Formats: sequence, C-alpha cells, structure tokens
Amino acid sequence: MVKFVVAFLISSGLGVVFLKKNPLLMLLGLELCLNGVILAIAARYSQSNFEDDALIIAGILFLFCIAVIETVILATLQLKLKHNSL
Amino acid sequence: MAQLIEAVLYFGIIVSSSVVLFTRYALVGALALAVNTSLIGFLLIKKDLLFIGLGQIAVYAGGIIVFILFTITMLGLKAEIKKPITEIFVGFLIFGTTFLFSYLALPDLDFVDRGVSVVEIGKKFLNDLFIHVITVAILLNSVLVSYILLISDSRE
Repeated sequence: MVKFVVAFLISSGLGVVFLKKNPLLMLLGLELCLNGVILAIAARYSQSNFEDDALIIAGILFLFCIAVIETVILATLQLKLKHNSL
Repeated sequence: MAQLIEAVLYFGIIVSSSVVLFTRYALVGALALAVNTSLIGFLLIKKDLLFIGLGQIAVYAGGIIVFILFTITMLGLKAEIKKPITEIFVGFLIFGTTFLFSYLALPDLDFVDRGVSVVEIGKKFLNDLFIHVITVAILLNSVLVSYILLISDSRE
C-alpha cells in the first residue's frame, strides 16, 4: 500500500508540474513529489536500525533545508509575478 | 480499528493529491496540499516515527504551506482557463507512465508497525523531542523574518 501511495504522489506531482501554467501551481506539484519522497524515506527508515540521534539530526537538517529552499523559491516567484516578468 | 484508521489516512492522501491535480483554483490546490501533508504527518506519527511526523505537521504543513497560501492570497490568483482535450490526454499519459514506472522501480516499502498511543506521543514529545522541535521552530522563525524583510525591501 505504501508503495502504491508513493507512486501515486510522485506521478500526480509530475502531472501537476506538466499540466499547470502558473509557476505557483507547479510548485504545488513539486511539493506533492516531495511528500512522496518523504513517505518513501520514512518507510525505509522504519525498516533500518539507525540510531535515534542520527535520525533526529538528519530530520532537522532535512526540514531546515526544505524551509530555506522553499522560501527562496517563493520569494523569487512573488517578486517576479509582481513585476509581471514571468 | 487501527487498520481502518490507516485505510482512511491512505484514502485521504490519495483523494487530496487528486484534488491538487484536477483543481483549477490555486487556493483550493494549496489547501488540499496542506491536508495531504498533515495526513502524511498523522500516518508517520501512527507508525511511531514521531519526530518526522511532528516536523511534517508543525514545520512543513504549518510553515511552508502557509507561506504558499499567503503568497497565493496576496497575489490574488484567478482560476485557470479550461484546457483543450489534447492537453488533458497528454496529462493523463504523463501521469500513467510515471505511475507505472515509479511503481515498478520502487523497492518493497512497508512500515515496521510498532504501534503507539497518544499518551506515549505526549511523553516522548515533552521528554525527548521538545528541544529538537523548538530548534526547528527557531530556525524556521529566522527564515520567516528574512522572508518578511525581503518582501518589505522589494516594496520600497
């Protein structure tokens, strides 16, 4: 079931990216893909014997990287859309 | 009962991602994505992956998706125009092939179910994970402040 959901999330995310014209909606598609990847990584983590601390540090870094990257993308999009240069 | 909750969560994830795929309204898509992210977070919490689950809900759904909602409402995006049938067909073709290939390429993914109760989540959150969640929240706050500064700079 997890495999099916991950495949569905990734494919619908890519479908959104290819179908929508608006860059903000394309970003939503990328988020869907990312959700699928997170679910897949979590399922793999739960099967392995990683140390808890290493997992938590990896989680913090991962979430922080996502936050920074998304913010930069959003700020750029917002500036470009405001000036109608997209 | 546990299996029913799991089935409902999986069903919700699939339905909300379909809404993102088919909607013409940016705001509805962003809201459906927030629901999708939160449902994945609940699923992870239920499968005893507390930190990633809590982070998913607090940081990802509560922070990033709210950024996107904020941007969409600020720009006042209107509904997209209806697409011609050929474009919809190409979209379905992309969706179908990607689904087929990713389903065949993925290894066997399954959660090792250890089960967790709500009391355990509370204990774990207060005792072990509190400092980590606060760290992520502070880091996210710094990102938020820089975002607001950037926006206010662009307005001047």
